[in-house]
Amino acid sequence: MTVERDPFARPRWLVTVAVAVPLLGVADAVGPQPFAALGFAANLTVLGVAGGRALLGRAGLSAVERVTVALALPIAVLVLGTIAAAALRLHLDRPLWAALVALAAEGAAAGVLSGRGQPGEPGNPRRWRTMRPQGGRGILWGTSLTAAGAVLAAAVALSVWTATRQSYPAFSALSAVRVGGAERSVRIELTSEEAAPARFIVAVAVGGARPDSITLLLAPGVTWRKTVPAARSASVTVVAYRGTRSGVPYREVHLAPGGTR
Amino acid sequence: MSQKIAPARLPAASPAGPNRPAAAQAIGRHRRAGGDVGGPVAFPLIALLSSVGTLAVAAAYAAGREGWPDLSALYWPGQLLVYVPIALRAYSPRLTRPAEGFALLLLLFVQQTLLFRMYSPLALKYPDELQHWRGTVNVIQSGRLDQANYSLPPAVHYPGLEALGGALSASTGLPPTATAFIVAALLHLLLVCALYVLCLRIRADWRVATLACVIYAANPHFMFFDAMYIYQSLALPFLLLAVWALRLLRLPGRAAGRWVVLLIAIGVVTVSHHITSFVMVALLGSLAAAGLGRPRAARELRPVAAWLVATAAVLAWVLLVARDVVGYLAPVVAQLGDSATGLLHGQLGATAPGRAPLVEPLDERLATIGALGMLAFLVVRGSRDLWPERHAEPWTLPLIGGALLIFAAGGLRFVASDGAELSGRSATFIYVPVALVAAIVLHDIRRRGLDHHDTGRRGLALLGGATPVVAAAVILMGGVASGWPPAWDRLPGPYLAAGFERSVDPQGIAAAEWALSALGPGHRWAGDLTAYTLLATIGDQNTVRDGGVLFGGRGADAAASSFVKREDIQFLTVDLRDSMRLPASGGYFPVDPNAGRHRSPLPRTDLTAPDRVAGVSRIYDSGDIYLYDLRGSAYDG
Repeated sequence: MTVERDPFARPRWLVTVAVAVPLLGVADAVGPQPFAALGFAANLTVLGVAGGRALLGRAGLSAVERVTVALALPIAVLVLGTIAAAALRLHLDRPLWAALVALAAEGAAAGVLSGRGQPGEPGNPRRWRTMRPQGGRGILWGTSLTAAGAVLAAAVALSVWTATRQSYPAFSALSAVRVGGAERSVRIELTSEEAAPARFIVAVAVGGARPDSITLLLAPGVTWRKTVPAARSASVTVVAYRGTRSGVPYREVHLAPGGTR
Repeated sequence: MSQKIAPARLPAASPAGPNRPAAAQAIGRHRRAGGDVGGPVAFPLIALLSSVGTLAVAAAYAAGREGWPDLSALYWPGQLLVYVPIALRAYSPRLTRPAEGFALLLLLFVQQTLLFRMYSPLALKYPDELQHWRGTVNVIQSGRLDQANYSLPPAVHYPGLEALGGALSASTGLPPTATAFIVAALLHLLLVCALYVLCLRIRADWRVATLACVIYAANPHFMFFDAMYIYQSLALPFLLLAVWALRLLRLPGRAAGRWVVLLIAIGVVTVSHHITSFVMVALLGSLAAAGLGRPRAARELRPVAAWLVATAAVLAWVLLVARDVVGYLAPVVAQLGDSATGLLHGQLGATAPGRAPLVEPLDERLATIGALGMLAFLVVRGSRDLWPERHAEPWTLPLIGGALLIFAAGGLRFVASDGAELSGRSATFIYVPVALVAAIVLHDIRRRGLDHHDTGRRGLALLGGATPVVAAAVILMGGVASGWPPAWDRLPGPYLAAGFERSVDPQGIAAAEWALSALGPGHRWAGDLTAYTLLATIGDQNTVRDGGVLFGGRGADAAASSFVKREDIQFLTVDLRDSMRLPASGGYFPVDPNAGRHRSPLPRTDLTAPDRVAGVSRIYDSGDIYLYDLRGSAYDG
C-alpha cells in the first residue's frame, strides 16, 4: 500500500511558508486590492492547512477530515479573533484582519515547525484512491463531465438572464423634506424609474402662494433635486404631472405646517 | 491497514454476513460488491443527469419570472432529477470507492447550492439574509460589532457571521452581497463536510456516512434556509465539529490539539447563534449522561468536561452579553405553550382560528406525510437494531433518542399554531441523528438484499428495484414541500403582497434607500410586512412588528394615537398594493391578529387615511408606496 505524500516533511517548503506569511500579511494590509485579496486568501490557506496539522497531526485523519479542518479553522479564527478584537475596542478594518490572519498563520506554521523534532507519525496509507476512468472510458468521462458543466453553465446563464430582464412596473418617486439647521428650506427630489425618458411638470406651492412650475425631461435612473425656501410655519405641496400638461397629478407630497421636524 | 487509523465505531447494526467481516467496512476500506469491476463510470453520467435537473429548475424559475406557465411544471421533475440519481448511487452496492461517495456529496452540494441561488442570482432577497447583510454592512462601515441592527436585534450579540462577512468583504474588496453569496456557500460546504466526518467517526463506514449526508440533504430546510447567509448557517457546522472533535478524543495521542479544536468549535457556536448553542448544551449533555451511565470502569469523563465547558460558555454569554435573547425567544416559547393549551381543548394549532391553515397542495401534503412516515419507519427499525449495542457504545442511546425526536417534530406540525415553521426549524438539528440511523438501516437492508438475492423472482426484484427510486423521490418531495419556500413562493415572479422574498421589488427597495439617505438611520416606523423587512434592512430603520392598528382607516383615533405614543412611532409607510391583493403569507403585518382570516384586501381608503389626519405630512410618493411623517400630527398630539 502506498503512503500519502506529506508536503510538511520537506523543511525547505515549510521555511518558505513561514517567511512568506508575513509578506503576504503586509500585502493584505496595505497592498492594492487584487494583491491584498490574494495575500489574505493565501494566509487563510496556510492557517487552515498548517493549523490543522499542528493541532491534530496527520495520522488517523482521513483526507476529508483534514480538508474539513482546513476549511473550518480560518473561519473560526476570523470569528473569534474579530470578536476578541472588538472586545478590546480595536477598530475593525483591513489592516487588523490582515494582522490577525498573518499572526495566526505564522503561529500555525511555527507549530508545525516545532513539532518536526519529535518522533514522526506514521504516514497515512493512501486510502482515497481517486476516481480515474479505466480502459477506453476516458472519452465517456470527459464528454459527460464537459456536457454536465455546459448544462450547469446554461442553467446559471438562464437564471441570470431572466433575473436581469425581469420586468417590474415602472415608477417615479417624488419626495420632499425640510432641511437645513433652522429647517427653512425644503429639498425636493424626483427620481424617474420609468421605462424610457419621461417629461414631468413639477409644481411647488409654498403656503398660499401661487405654485411655481418646472418642466423636466428625466432619463431612467436619474434624480432631479431642488431646494426651495419655505418657512417652517408654511405648508408645502409638491405635485408632479406626467407629460407636458398639468392634468391629473402623477405624484404628490405635502408637508404640514410645522411638520417634518 | 494499521488498526490505529481506524476510528472507534459502533458495532454493526446487524451481524456481518459470513463472507463480509465487519472489519472490512472500516473507514476507508472498500470492497467490490455487486460485481462492479468497471470503476465508477456512473459518476459522470449522474453528474450530467443531475445537471439537467438543475437546468430544468432554472427553466421553471425563468418561467416564473417571465410568466410562462407551461415551463413552471419543470420544477418538480428537475428537483427529482437532481436528487434521485445521486441518492440511488449512494444506496447502490456498485458504489465501491469512498472518493466517489464523497464526490457524489460534493455534486449534490453544487447542484443544491445552484438551485438555491438561482432563485435570485443577482441580489439578496430572502428577509433573513437581508438582516445579516445589514449587520455586515454595519460592521464594515463602523469598524465595530456593537452597531444596532434594527432588523434583527439579537444578531448584535451573536456577531459571528457579521465578523466573518465583514472580515472577508473588507479584506478582499468584495461587495457585501457578493461576500454573503460566497460565505453562505462556504458554510454550506463546511456543513456537508462536518456531517460527513462526524458520521464517519461515529459509524466508521463511508457508505453509511455518504448515505446519511444524502438523506440529510432532503431535510425541509437544508436546501434553502440552512444555505442562507444567516447566523445559524455558521453555528451548525461548528456544532457538528464540536461533537466530531469530542469523538476524536477517544483516539490515543494529540489530546491537547483535539481539545483546542473542541473548544474553538464550542466558542464559535456560542458567539454565533442562540438556538444552536442551546442545542449544543443539550447534545453534549446527553453524550455526557451516556458516558456517565456506563459501568464505573468504562465511564467516559471527557464528554462531561466538554458539556461543562459548553454550558459555562453559553451561560456566560447569555448572562453577560446576549441578555436580550430571552426576551427575543419568549414569544416562541409562549406560542408553544398556547398550542399545548389549545391541544388540551381539542384544537389543533394549524387549524386554530386566526392561523393560516396548511395550504400545501394535496400531493405535496401526501409527500410530506409519506416522507415523515418513511423516515419514522427507518428510525424505529434502526432504533430496534441499535438497541442491543447500547452497552458497548455509549453514544447509542443519545443517537436513538435524537432520532426518535422525529415524532416530536412531526407532531409539532399539527400541534403548534406555527407548527410547519417550527417543525422545519427543528428538523435542521433532529435530522442529523435521523439521517444517520436511517442510513444505518438502509445500508443494512441493502446488504441483506445482496446476501439473499434471488435471481429467480424477477418480478419481486423489479419491484425491489423501484422501491429506492420511489423512496428517494418521496423523501425529497416531502422535505422540499414542508420546508421553505412554501408552494406559493417556490418560483420567483411578480410582486406579491406580504410575500417575503416575492415582495422585494425595485419600488420597495427605492423607498427604503430613500428613507436612509434622506432621514438618516434609526427612526421608528410602522408599516406592512414588506416595509418592516426592507426599511429595517436596506433602510436601517427601527421598525415595529404590530402596526396594524394604524391601518384600520380610523385615522388618529384613541387606539392609533396610543400606539403611536407608546411605540414612539415617527413615520408610517403605506403600500397601496395591499388594497389590491390578499397577503400571500396570510397576514399583512409581522404580527397580524387577522392572519389567515383576510377575505378581501385592505380598503384603499383605510390605507390613505393618514392623508386626512391633521398635521401629517406625506413626504414620499412612488405611486404605490407613500411615506408619512407623523411627528407633530394628531397621532402624536
